[in-house]
Amino acid sequence: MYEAQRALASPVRTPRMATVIGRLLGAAFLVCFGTGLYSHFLQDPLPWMRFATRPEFLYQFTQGTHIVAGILCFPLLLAKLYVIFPALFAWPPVKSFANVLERASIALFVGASLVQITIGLVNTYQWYPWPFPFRQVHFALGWVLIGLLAIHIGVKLPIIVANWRKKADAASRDDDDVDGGSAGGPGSELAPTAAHSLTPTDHLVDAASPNRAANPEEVRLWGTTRPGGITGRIINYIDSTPALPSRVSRRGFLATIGVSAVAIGGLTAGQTFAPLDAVNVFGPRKKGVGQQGVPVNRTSKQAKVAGLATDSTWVLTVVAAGTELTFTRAELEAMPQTEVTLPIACVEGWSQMAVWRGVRMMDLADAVGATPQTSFRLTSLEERGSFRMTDMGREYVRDPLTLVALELNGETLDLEHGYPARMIAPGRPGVLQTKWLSRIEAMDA
Amino acid sequence: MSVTTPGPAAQPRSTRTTDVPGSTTSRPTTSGRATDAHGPALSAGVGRAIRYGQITLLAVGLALLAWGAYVMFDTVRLPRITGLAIWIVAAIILHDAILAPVLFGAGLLLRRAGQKVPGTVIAVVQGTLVVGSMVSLIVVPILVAQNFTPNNPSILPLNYGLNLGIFWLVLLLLGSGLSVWLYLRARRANERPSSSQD
Repeated sequence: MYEAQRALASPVRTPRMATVIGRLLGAAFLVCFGTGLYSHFLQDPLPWMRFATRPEFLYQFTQGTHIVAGILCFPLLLAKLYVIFPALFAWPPVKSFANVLERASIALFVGASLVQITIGLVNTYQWYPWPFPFRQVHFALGWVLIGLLAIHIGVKLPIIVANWRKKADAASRDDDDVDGGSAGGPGSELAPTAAHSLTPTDHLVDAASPNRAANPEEVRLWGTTRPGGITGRIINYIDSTPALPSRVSRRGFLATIGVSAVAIGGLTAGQTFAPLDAVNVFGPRKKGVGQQGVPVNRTSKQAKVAGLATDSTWVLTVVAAGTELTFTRAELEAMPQTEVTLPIACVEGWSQMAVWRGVRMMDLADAVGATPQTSFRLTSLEERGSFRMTDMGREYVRDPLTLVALELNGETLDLEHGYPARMIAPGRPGVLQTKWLSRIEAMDA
Repeated sequence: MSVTTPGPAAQPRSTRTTDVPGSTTSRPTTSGRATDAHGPALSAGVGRAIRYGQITLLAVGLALLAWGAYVMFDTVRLPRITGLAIWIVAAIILHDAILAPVLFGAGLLLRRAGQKVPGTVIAVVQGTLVVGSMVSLIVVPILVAQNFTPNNPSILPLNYGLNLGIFWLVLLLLGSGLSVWLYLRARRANERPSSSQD
């Protein structure tokens, strides 16, 4: 096993690199967790919760960030796992009960992280090949992962502190590399890594670099410097392969991760971040693609509303404090109309700016005599679906930008966008911008 | 994947003892940085701060983990959680037993094949292949997903296969251009031994 570690040793597999990549990945996890919680509580608020309605693009920003940061976790997590991979072959496999717990926690951390970012990504493709409910599992795993992250940082804290800054001796070693000629060819820099100051028992240390003299640990384990048989031959084969110069190896690694992150982020973020729209070649959505130039999440066919929505007897029912009023579409059109420019921003990370025209929600609430403290429950025509009924807090009801929209981008609202009438409010997830509105009812006082 | 760091960091229990045996692995840097002025006092203070930090992080982490487990069992039915467990184990196997060894072997073969080539060129070739694989990892699931998505023209509306092909083409052009440039530069440098710097 020590041989396995040795074979895997590489100039990038150092505690310093684990710290450098680890803190980026940790930051990405925290960003995902924070924006994820925000999105969760917008959809399932605790009773006392009130939310900001400005800036109007707030949710577009937080959820777009959630998805971009999540995608960036792919290169970062794989890089982190690459750096620490030899630790898998730590020998002896376990040292103590605490050690067992720690290895188990890391196994769970790695597996759950891989699953979390994978289901998050594939969910944005609206493909659900897993045998569990996405939303609940993604939410619970978020807590689990942040807990495991805190435990992991706690356990590794001495290593992190020791490697937070670039070491003085590492810097001088780099200078030596420069003096020796960085492109000097293979084999020229096999020695420097062995000169590392940490002890060989620390697996993360590249003390186990190839082609170096026998060390006490090997002798202790095998009595010789090398196992025989096939294992020995494989090890010999690996050892006789030239290593890359350590500085080239380190910089190449960081550049590879950096370019991967820029490529993956840059070529997908255009689905929410307009300046990158031109290079959005891998995003699951494209700005401007969809009926009336706006992408659609749930279609009228999926919601099974086409019949009811196009029925000429459709009315919007508004209820508060014993008053119940119904409005036909013509009656809504006859009320004062307001035009707003608001993004529709989906939990899946895409967003689209659009011009909406319709009746202020505030005006409808006032029409049935609701107080400024009144929150409303919105009901869609659809028969089933997690968001058939949603709640709208008073901060949105009273916002002058919140509309019962009748028109989109200068045309009558398309059936796919919620004809005959839909809700549009600033800073809310698309699933709460209820389409095919049927009923708006005051919830309390 | 199970990973551990031998030494003080791996064992929360040992970190609580006043003077950690074996902590020499992590100490040199801390004390090394502090030596210029008031070394021992500062590093003792740092050591205590680290221990308090560790205890706090472990406590907070365990609480969050417990809460996450509660939320999981509260909202997801048991057979579904078993499904999740299978996915987690599969993810570990996929990475540790397949992806990582393949990557290791590929790097090994590449370095062997390019024994006579400067290290910078090998690094660029490796990097090019990894960047391409990383982007493919994100995009290939789209190609599969396109067979399963609902009838909605605004979901996955692009020609992702074509885009991926163009991406690889551009990437390989850039990668080989950079490789050739580095190769020629290294050869020129070798011909003129006086300029060892660049």
